[in-house]
Parts: sequence; C-alpha cells; structure tokens
Amino acid sequence: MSLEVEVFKNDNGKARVELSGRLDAGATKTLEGKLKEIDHAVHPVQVLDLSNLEYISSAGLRALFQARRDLTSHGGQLLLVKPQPQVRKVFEIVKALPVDEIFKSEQELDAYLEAIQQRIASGDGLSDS
Amino acid sequence: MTFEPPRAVLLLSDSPDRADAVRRALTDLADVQVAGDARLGLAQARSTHPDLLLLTADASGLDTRRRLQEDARTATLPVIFLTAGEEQAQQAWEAEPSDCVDTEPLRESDLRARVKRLLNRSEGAAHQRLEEATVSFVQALREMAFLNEARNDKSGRHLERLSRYCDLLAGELARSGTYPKQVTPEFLRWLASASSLHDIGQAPTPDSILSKSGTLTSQEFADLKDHTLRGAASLERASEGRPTEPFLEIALQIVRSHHERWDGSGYPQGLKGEEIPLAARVVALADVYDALTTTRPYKPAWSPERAREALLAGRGSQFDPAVVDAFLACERAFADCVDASATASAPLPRSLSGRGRPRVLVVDDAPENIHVLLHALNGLCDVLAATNGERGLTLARQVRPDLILLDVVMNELSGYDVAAQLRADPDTAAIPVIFVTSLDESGDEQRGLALGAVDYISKPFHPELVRARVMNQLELKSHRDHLEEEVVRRTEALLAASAREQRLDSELRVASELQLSLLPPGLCRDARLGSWELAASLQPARAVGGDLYDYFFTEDGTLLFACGDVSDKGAAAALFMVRVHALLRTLGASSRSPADLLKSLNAALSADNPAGMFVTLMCGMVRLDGDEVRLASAGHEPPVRVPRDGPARLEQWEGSGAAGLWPDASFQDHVCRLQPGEALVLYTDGVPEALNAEGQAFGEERLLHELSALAGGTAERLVAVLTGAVDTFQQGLERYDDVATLVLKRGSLNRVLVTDPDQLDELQGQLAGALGGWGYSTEMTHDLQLITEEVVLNVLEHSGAPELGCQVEWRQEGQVVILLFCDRGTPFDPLAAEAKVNDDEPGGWGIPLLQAMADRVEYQRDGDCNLLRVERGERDFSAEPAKPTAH
Repeated sequence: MSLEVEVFKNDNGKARVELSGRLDAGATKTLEGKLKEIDHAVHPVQVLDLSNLEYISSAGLRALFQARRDLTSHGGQLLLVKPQPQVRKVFEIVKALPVDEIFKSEQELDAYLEAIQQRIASGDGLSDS
Repeated sequence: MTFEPPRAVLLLSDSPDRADAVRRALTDLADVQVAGDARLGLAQARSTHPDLLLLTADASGLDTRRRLQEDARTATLPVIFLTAGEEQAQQAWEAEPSDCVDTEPLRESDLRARVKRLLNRSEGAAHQRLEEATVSFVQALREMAFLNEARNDKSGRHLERLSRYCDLLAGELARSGTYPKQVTPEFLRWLASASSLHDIGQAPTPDSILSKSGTLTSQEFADLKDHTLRGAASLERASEGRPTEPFLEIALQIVRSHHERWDGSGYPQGLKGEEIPLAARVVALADVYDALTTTRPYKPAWSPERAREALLAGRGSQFDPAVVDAFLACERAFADCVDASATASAPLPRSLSGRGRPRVLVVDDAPENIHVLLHALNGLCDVLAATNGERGLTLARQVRPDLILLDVVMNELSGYDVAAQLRADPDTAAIPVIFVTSLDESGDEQRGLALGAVDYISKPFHPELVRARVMNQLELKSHRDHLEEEVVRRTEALLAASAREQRLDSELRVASELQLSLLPPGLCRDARLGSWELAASLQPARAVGGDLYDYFFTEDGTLLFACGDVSDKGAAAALFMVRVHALLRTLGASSRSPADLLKSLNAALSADNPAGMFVTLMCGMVRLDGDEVRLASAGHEPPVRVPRDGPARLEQWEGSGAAGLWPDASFQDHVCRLQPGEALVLYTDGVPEALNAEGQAFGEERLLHELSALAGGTAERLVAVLTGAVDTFQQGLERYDDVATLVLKRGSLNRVLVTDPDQLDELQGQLAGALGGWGYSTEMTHDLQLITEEVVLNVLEHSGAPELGCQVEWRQEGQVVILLFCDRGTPFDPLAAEAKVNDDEPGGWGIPLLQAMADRVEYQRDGDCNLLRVERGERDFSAEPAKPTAH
C-alpha cells in the first residue's frame, strides 16, 4: 500500500494536507513533491492530517523534518494532527519534531491556531520558535 | 502390405522427365508431389508435411537440405538424394541424408525399394514403441521377481545364476540340435529372463515356511507346492489385456510347471515327459542345481561334483535325460559360475559383443566383386570373405559378424537361400544382411525384405555409397547393442545394490529399499516449496504390497501430491502400483485439477483391467503462492487437518469410489484452505487398521489424538511420530499392511532476500500476511515492519555490498516472533554505532527506533555474515481497544 497525499487550501493562509497509507522510504518523494506545490507565501500554515496514515519509518520522519525546516525558514509553520497510536509512538521515540506541534485532535489544533491568531492580532510575530 | 492412408513423397525438380520417372517408380506406393524450385519446395515441405523428400544432389539441393535441417518443422523429414556420378554421391552422403539413389541411370525398382524401406521405417517406429513397452514390462516383472527373491536368498544371486544356467542349457540344446522344434529364437531370447519369474507365486507364502530350517510339515509342503498355481494365476492377472507375447508364454510355462518331474511324479499337474514344456524342464534342472550348490536354510552348500552326481541320479526320473546330457556337455561353465558366485564379486555373466572393430562378412561368388568390396570397406571394419553360400553360412555361425553383405545371384545356394538359413538359425538370425544385387526387377525387393534384408547395394558399386550404407547399418547395430548393454547394466546395478544390503543381513530392508526406490525422497527439499513443507513415508509390510505416495511439481509450478493403496498384495499388486505411479506422473503434468487427474487415471486403469484390481487414491494440487489446496478422493481415507494450535479433525466431503473399476466414474474437487502452520495429513488404511496384540485397531480416534498433540510441529515430525505411534501400538508384531503417510504443511517459516529498496513493499506484505496469519495485532505488525525497513535500508546503505543484499527471515518461537537479518557485507554492528539525533543532521533515527521497538536485539559476526537477531512479542496497547493476540 503506498502513500496518498491530498491538499486542501483555504483563503486564510492555511493549507490542509491529508496523508493516508504508508510513509516509508519509498514514499518520501511523493510527499516532497506534493508539499512543493504549496506556495509558502500564500499558505504559511500547513496542517498535516495523519489520521489515515498507518505507518511511518525513520525515512518518513526525515521527510517531515525537512519539510518543517523548509517552511519555518520561510516564516511558516508545519503542524501535525491526529496521528494513529503506532505513528505517534514513532514520533515520541525519535523526538525529532517538537511533540507540542503534534495534535491529538482538531480541537486541540484549533485552540492552538486561535492562540496564534490572537498573538498576531496583538502584534507578535508568526514564528514562535 | 497396405499403405493407408496414402503416403506423400515430395520431389524437388524442374525436370518433367524426372518427375514422370519418379511417378512411375512409386505408382501405388505414394502420392508424388512435385515442386519446380527450391523456394516452393521448402514452403511445401513445411506446410504439407510429406512423408519423404526427394532432392537432386546439386548445389541447390544441398542448400535446400541445410535449410530443412535448420527448421524444426522439417528437421526430421527423411530425405533421399538423387545423385549423378560418384563425386556428387560423395557430397550428398556428407549431408547425412536417409539414403541416396544413383540416377546414371535411374533404376526405378531401386528407387521404389528405397522409398518403400523409408516409408516402412516410420511404421516401424510405432512398432518399436510397442517393443519398448514390452521390454519395460519384462523389466518390471523381473524387478518384482528380484524383490521377492531378496527375502529368502542369502546370497542374493540365485536368480542371476539361474538365468545363466538356463542360457547355458539352451545354448547347448541349440548346438546339439536337440528338440529343434522347441528351441526357437523366441525360446533362446526369453528363457533366461523368464526363468527369474519361476517362483513369483511365493509372495503370499508365509516367510516362516520359506526360511524354515528342518523338515516341513505336510501342510507347509502343500502350501509351498501351491505356489506354482498361485504364481501362474498372478502372472496371468498381471498380463491380461496384453497381446500374446512369447515372453509371457514361456514365463507361464516355467512358473506353472517347473516342479513337474519327467516321470510324472511332480506337481501341480503331474505332467509326464514331453508333456512338460521344455522351458520348465530346463528351469527344473537349473533350479535344483543351484539349490544344491548354495547354502539354503535346510542344507549346506554341496560341491559341484556332488551336485552333478545328484542330477545324474535323477536322469530320466526327475529330469529330462536330454537336458541332463546338455548339462553334462557344459558342466564346466556351471561349476565356474558356482565358483564365481562364491567370490561374490563376479560381474553379471552375460557376454556382449564387446570387441573393438566391427566385422563384416562378404559372401559373393565373383572374386572381382569381393575385391571391389574389400577395397571400398578398407579401414572401416574387418572384412571376411566367403566365395559361396555354404562357406558363408559356416563363417557366419563361427564368427558372428556384425553385418553380412550377401550376393543375390550365386551358383548352388542363392543369396535368398543363404538369408533364409541365416534367419532360421537362432545364432545368426539377428545379424543384419545387405543384399548385393545387379537385378533390376521389381518384386525382388519384396522377397529380400521378407527374408530380413536391411538394405540393398546395386552393382556396379560406387565405393562411397557402399561405405555409407555399411556404416549406416553398423551404427544401427551398435545402437541396438548399446541398448542391450544398458538393460544388463541396470540389472547389474540392481543386483549390486541388493548384494550391498545383504551384507547388512537385513532381507526386509532390501525389499523395502527396492519398492521405495520408485518413490521420491521422504522429505521434499525442492526449493520451489518455499516456506511449505512436505514429508512422506512408506513402511512396507513383509509381503510386497501396493501402497504408494508421490509428489512432484508440474511445469507451471503447481505441486501435485498423492497417497494411495492398491487392493490385494503380492507381485500383481506391486505391478499395479508401478502402473498407477507411472500414470500419476504422465497424466499429472497435463491435468487441470485433482478430479481431472483421477478421471483420466481411472479411465486408463479401468480400460485395461480385466483382473478387477483397483486403487484408492487421494490426490492434491496446490499453488504454493496461495493457500488453496484442491483435493480429490477415489475411495480413499479422509485426510486429517492439523491446525497450528490443534485440535486435529477429519476433512470430510462426499468422495467417489476407488479407481480402476468403472471407466466413467466421476470425481469432485474439494477445496481446503490451509492457514499458516496448518498441516494436511494423508495416510493409507494401514494406519487406522493397524492391530495390537489384543486385536484392537489403532482407529480414527487415536489417529486424531496423536495428531492433535503434534499441532504446529514440522511435516517431518508429524510423519515420524505418527508412523512411530503405529509401530509402538503394534508392539513389535509383524506389520500386516503397508503404512503410507504424506504430510503437507503450509509454512510458518519465511525467508526473503532483498537487494533493492523497491523490494521492501512486497516483503512488508508477506510479513504482514504471516503475522496476521499467526494472529498478531496490527501494532505488532507495524512495529516489525518498521524494524525490517530500518535494518534492511541500513544494511543496503552501509554493508559496502548492496548487491549481495540482505536476507530477512521471520518465524514464530513460542509467544514471540524472531526476525533474522543476514548480510555478507563488511563487519558492521549497527548497535555499536553512535546514535545521532540532532536537528541539523537529520538521520541516525533508525537504530533508536529498532531498539525501542524490539524486545531484544543481538548482533553477531557469523563467518562472513553480519547476523542481527531481533525478538519481539505482543505488547499491551492499553490505549487501544483489545485486539486479538497470539495465544
């Protein structure tokens, strides 16, 4: 079973990317290609929905890590939401991505984004790390 | 002789005259098609499949010949070259045609005779197949006789000596001209082979009688006497449906009457004098001579001198006086045979024409012809010459040449007369004869053919043509001799094997070894099995029986297996088993399903089975990349399914009756899906019907109980423990029936070699299938797949030899799963490498993941291999709803 990536963009600078299937060494190219299609300037916030992602290996982690580094260097933000337990476990073991950027649910994510909106409104920068 | 359907001969020639001449020559013999040029001719040869091709031996014809040979459709087509002049004939013969015919001038009768001979040869091929079938049937019968004999013959060579004695006596009878009407060529050819069968009827006789020391009781003696009739009946059964063959006739005479006595006091019929068939009279003497000169359970070996006295004493009472006289004439050779046998290393005493250069005898009353032929054959062979027919016959008998060139027209005895006499004499009947003729009359070739001529050479001679024809015949003869040698060699090998086993003093082992030699090994080690296992066993009872198992792969990779039981016991049952075995192999290759196979096997058996023997058979087919085993049963015991964690249960469905009885019986396929680790056990009735000392049967319940206890075991272990359990149950009682078992197990051991990251997908799929089959959770599967990907990519990247790949093996041990990774790269312990986790240099995460996911990881340098062993059991995923787990 291979990786499928679907991108949904909205007008508020947010892009939603749904991953389903397996993010293994052979699938990283697919992910990289899809993420490149998103314009960082138009959609600085990218939310990766992992609810249908069944498998991730260190090569997949590396691809996510690089995508996040790429985006943050352009002032954007990559957020991960709803990983399945076995996938979350992999993130926890490697600790390569800040666990506070991985959200268990949509609500958690929305609350987080809300907080950011308020910070922007109060004049703070977008980047927080 | 009729030629239907009409044969087609294709002539390549642009000459209308030539076409007319050929048509005239072949009138009523063949349809002549004519192609005017080479291109048309080739096309026609390919499309219309003529029986024979006539080519002109010019450059174009030779080129056509080459093209024909290059094309598989026409490579075997017989070709006759039409040659003009000696030079062209020489070139033509180099192209290895079937024959050449001179056209300066073209003699129509010559062409006709040669075409006819070649057309007959293709008919001859069918005849030869029949002959081969007879030879293999005779071989099978003899092997059965040897099998029987192995039980009660300490020296193991009784039958071999008996054959030799019969050969000697028959030869002597022929030499002295005794009983000329009965000493026919068939008699001489088959007597020795047939003598091996003389005691075939002993199979069902209890071994206690056969091997008994001391005097037999009258009942035992009566039983022993009965074997002649029993043997004859079983031989009649085994040979029913076959056309009458001299071999069988002679064998029957021997089996039935070799205990008759000249004075009428023998058994079973009390025949007297010449009422007893000659073959039986010869075997009677040979058998007694061998019994006297070898050690038997009831007596020590006698010296040849003492044996001779005994035979003389029986002259005219027990034995035919003429046969005793024949014995006296060649007694020295008998005694030599006893001596040779005593040294035990004697080769099979059968003479073959093992001399180096072939010998050709030329019989011609014109010295100039002899001179020309001698010249033509110079260097090719040793040539002997006779200037008249009488002298030729004498020489032929003395030197037994490999070939005779015989002039047709001679004073006193003509060539035809000489040929007729050669045919009539068994010593010379088999020598091929080429007629040398200057006659040009149609009809003569008919007479020559009837007298067994193999070819013609016409005067005047072309030396090249003579050489080619003679060479042709000598080669054919050498092929025939080679075939005969092969039969002797195989018989010898059989005897050698039996002698080797004899030294271990285990008669039973010889018999079972011989029967088992027909079957594939007890453990299948074919790589195509992959993770599947197949083991089988056949434990023959004391009396030769008819159980069998078999397995083999068909061309498309399907595994076919079978287990069966032939009705009855003894030689006839064993022969029937040989037949079933052969049919399984031939029909199995083309059968679509087991039911299909049983249908054609049943049809073949019942079409030719007047004796009403039958076989119960369980057949299965499985494609090893799936889990679907298709089974079909012909009245056989239902197989037992043994799941990985038991309990065993019978796999039952509505089957059909035994095979061999009803030609249009129908059979149904039954599909049985095996889980990983699940086994299917086939067995014959020797298992449930085994009896213990109290007379209780082993029974189905005990069978299921034994197999349940073995759940999850290897196929080999299932076979070994089950047959062991049957043996133990019988508590050392003699096995009453054959016990055959066959176990097919879907594997729980898996192994894959990965040389490219792209192969990972497939590997992960297999791993998931295996783990799912074993009942593990999806989390467990995820983690083991993760471990696999990390290790394999690590190896391919760091081993320094990615082309050698990484071998991955997974198996279950108790409650945990073991993953083994093996590569032949430079020594590298991934566990010792520093784990690097930092943001700037992403990587090095694989090993920490591996260590976190595994319960245990061990690295080991094993020879030139890096070996990584990972152990992992089911974990408690409390965050998740409960999943089915391994037991």
